[in-house]
Amino acid sequence: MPDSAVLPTAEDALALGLTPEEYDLVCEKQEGPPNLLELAMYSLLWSEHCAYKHSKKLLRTLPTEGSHVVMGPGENAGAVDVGNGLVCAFKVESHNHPSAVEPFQGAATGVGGILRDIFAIGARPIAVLDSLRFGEISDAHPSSRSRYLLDGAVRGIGHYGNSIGVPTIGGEVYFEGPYEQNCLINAMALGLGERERLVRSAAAGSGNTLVLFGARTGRDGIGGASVLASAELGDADTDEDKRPTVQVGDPFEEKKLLECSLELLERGLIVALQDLGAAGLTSSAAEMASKGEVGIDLDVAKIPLREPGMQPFEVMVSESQERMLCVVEPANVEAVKALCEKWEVNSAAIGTVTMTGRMRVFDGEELVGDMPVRALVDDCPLYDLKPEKPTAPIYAPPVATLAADTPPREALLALLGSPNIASRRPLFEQYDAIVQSRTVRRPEQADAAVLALEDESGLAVSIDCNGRRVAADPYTGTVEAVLECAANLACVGAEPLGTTNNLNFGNPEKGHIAWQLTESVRGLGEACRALEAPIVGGNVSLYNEGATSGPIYPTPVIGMVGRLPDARKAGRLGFVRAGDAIALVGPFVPSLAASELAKLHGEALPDGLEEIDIEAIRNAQIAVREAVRAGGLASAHDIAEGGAAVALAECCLAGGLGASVELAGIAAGMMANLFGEGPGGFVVSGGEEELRALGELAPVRVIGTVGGAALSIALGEGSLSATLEELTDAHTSLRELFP
Amino acid sequence: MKFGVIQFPGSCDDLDALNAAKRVGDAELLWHGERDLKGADAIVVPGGFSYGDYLRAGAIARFAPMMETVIDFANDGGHVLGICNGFQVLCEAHLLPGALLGNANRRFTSRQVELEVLNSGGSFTRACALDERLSIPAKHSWGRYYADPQTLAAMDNAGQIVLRYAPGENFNGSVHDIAGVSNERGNVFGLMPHPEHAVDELIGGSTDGLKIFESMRMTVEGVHA
Amino acid sequence: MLGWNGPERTHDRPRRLDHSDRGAPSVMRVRVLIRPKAGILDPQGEAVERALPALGFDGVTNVQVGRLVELDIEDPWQLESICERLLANPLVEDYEIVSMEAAGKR
Repeated sequence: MPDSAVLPTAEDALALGLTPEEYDLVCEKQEGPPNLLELAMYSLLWSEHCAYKHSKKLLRTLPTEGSHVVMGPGENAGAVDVGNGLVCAFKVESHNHPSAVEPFQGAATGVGGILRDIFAIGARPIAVLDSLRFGEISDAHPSSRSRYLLDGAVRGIGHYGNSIGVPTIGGEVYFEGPYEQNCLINAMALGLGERERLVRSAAAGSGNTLVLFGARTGRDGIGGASVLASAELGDADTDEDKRPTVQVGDPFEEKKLLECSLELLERGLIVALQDLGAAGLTSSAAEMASKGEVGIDLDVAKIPLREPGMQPFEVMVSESQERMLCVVEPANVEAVKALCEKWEVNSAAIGTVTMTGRMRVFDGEELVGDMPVRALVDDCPLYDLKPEKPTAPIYAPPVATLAADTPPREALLALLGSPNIASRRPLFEQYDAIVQSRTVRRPEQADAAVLALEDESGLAVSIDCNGRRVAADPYTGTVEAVLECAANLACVGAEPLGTTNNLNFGNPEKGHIAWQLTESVRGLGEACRALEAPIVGGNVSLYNEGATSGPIYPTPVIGMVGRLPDARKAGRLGFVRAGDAIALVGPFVPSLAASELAKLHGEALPDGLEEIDIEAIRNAQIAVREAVRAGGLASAHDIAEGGAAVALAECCLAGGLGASVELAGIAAGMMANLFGEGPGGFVVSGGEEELRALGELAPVRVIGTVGGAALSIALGEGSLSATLEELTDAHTSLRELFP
Repeated sequence: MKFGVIQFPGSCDDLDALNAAKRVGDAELLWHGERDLKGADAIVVPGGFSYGDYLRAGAIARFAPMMETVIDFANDGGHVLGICNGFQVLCEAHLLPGALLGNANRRFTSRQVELEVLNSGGSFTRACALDERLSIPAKHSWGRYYADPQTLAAMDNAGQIVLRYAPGENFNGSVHDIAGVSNERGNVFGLMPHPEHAVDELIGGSTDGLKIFESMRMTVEGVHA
Repeated sequence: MLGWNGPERTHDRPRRLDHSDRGAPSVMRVRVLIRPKAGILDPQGEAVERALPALGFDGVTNVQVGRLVELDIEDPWQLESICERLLANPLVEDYEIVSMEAAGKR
């Protein structure tokens, strides 16, 4: 039994987030009550954030295999084959709770963390996308808090991504009441690596050395993982109290770390690699040992520290950023340290791989913690969700900002200027989208971001989720999110290869949230199976609710990567030539239920959404994709928030060209025709000939022509018209948020 | 012709500059800690965040051993191009007049900008026409050019103000809309926008940036427009 | 966060040489303030000035935002050179040594 001054009590365990039953289980695994250090480590590794206690069983139902999958869930990132011996590694992660406390650093370190996951498997990060959620920010609800969070998060993402030289090429942001107290900051990253050179994280080789390299270890984020992420943000908690647990990121340090890690791998100097994220050294070392089915001896006295007087448990749980852990054969340790010196990163040999199956923490000669690896990582109890379909609405209706009888023209301008639809240019201009010279389609040029590979094929990527629609119908709403991603890929001519997801939900111990989660994962699985776009990795963020403010909308953020054979043919969303024909394509069944217009009208969420014919939509996506690849379409744009009218306006704005179209008889009622939403619809433009050919593969309805300086829509009963200038004026409403 | 592209800890657009230069001649990366130019005929100090932009952008990189060699090279008439962070380094090293300050809008801003060529006779713009407009992306938070009035007057007289943001394009508040300047002798040139990101139709649509590298090649090989 | 009553841990550092033993000047702790030169646009200062009234603070003008560098130095005669060459850009910044005193023991 390790020597230790104080033995913590069961109360201490509860304060650290363990349940009484979990504490008893820990005592059983330890064959006695754990000491301070051991309890801290168990509390972190058994937290929801690290152990996925409430979601793991559900996640096991997701499809993870496919012909393109090279690395599935379970490693630092997933990877798909992209030809020529290359793989694209990608993953999405969240940093929600820290960002609500300190948005700049929370978002910055979120980017840092996901980037480390990419180069931890041996891939060079080539792109970042972000998916953000905040409370309402329009003039009707001037939430200074949400504006403050938005500003900080965008600056933080820009700061980290730009400084480290990885382009931020896409993303999305939504503003809804339920995110007011619990913002969402999800960051996705892509990397490029050689299939033969990918590295895993399982520690191996008894007697091998553990080397910690990167930044010095300080007190950043101590206890952050379990204390913050698994606790509901109580209204009584002041941000001041939580501040010391927020990590501070240093992108310059990470740039050096990245180059160093990639060169270490290139030179074949390391056996296994793992980045340090939530729960720091505790989780990295434990997970490496668990995957390798080995033991680890660690000496905290060997770890380079930034702060004086750090206790062993602090060193083990510190979440100081920009650190990596690797396993090295003893003969290579000197070479590893020399390489670290070249890149000006600290390095230290801090431990050894053993065959004991135990995690033993030393402080110099003194043994201060001794735990079975299995108990720490694999034996954490997993819980079954107890889903209960809610019988009453969970969410208050959105506050109305538009009169119910607003005529179509004013409704269109209001939608274009609404925060969920308006141009994101003021945000993405704060990001470098072009460094590394691969970007073929920059933000607002196409529905998906496109990067060129060396052989001139293209990688396409999109990140999507409409949380409000998922709240209306968790199963269908999630299917829609997956289809949205695939539709965006189709518009640039890309075929989906794989998917990543970040499940952002409320407290899963509550029946209605468990129901949301269960239904959402069911939809996720079904849609990914139908599209043959398996899940290669992802993240779960639970307990996103305030004590008095209620849960967030269920928000399963989906990231999807695809490939197109010729990047030169990548699709665009803007109209290109006056005279081109415009058509609506796909089995589009628009409805105003849960639409953006309904939100502006302050309508309550419907109970359920229209059923979806996934197969028909998939076929339409394939048809559009092939037409784009063949060069037959001048433009292609997926219909999403705001319906067909908004999509048409976006095509006009992006192309700087007007259009004359007729929208009637698609749905019941003028407003539904204009602004009804639903999956499976595209607005495309091109020659009449090409559109007719497309009509043989999917429902196509020619609705008008590109030209002029205004968007004119004939509606059967009446019409609406708005000049490009008026549309631009409305569309640029977010500019005032970033003076 | 061979270009040498300096690499500091934190350089980001070094490989982009290398690949742009390779479209025009040979090119090799030069490590900041060494002193050998490896036979380079011209030097490119690339964009990025050398040393994290700590203290001031370029303030630390300017003292790198490789920069000592570059300063000697420039003083001997060698041609040096500084892009974005490279421009900052050259100003800190006093190879170029003036200084770069934080953007007036206090934000990192990334935008395709139009530049006017004010001096097309020099080593870095001889492949351009006078008053030609170049479409080149700019992306920085520390790009507001400043020099005092006397310096500016002297630079103007000597033709050192080489590139200017076209009307409406100056988002960083640079004095006199200055985007790129040369030294008096004309062998050192710095600009905030990134010509290396405008060399390929597929990536960004403009190849105007290639003209800067092409001009350097023409200069070194003694070819005149 | 809970205060664990664990044993105090002093982290070992190499002992600093005490120069006063050999009659050389002792280490000085110096504070250098670096500010933008008058007449040059200071957008940070302006932003701070603009933000204050919105928080309820009136009557605040002339805000400048600069940098503070603190360091321990063995030979204070080097200070001017350090300021001129690295800490400040004399073209656009002024610097001022605001304090210099014997460095505290670690």
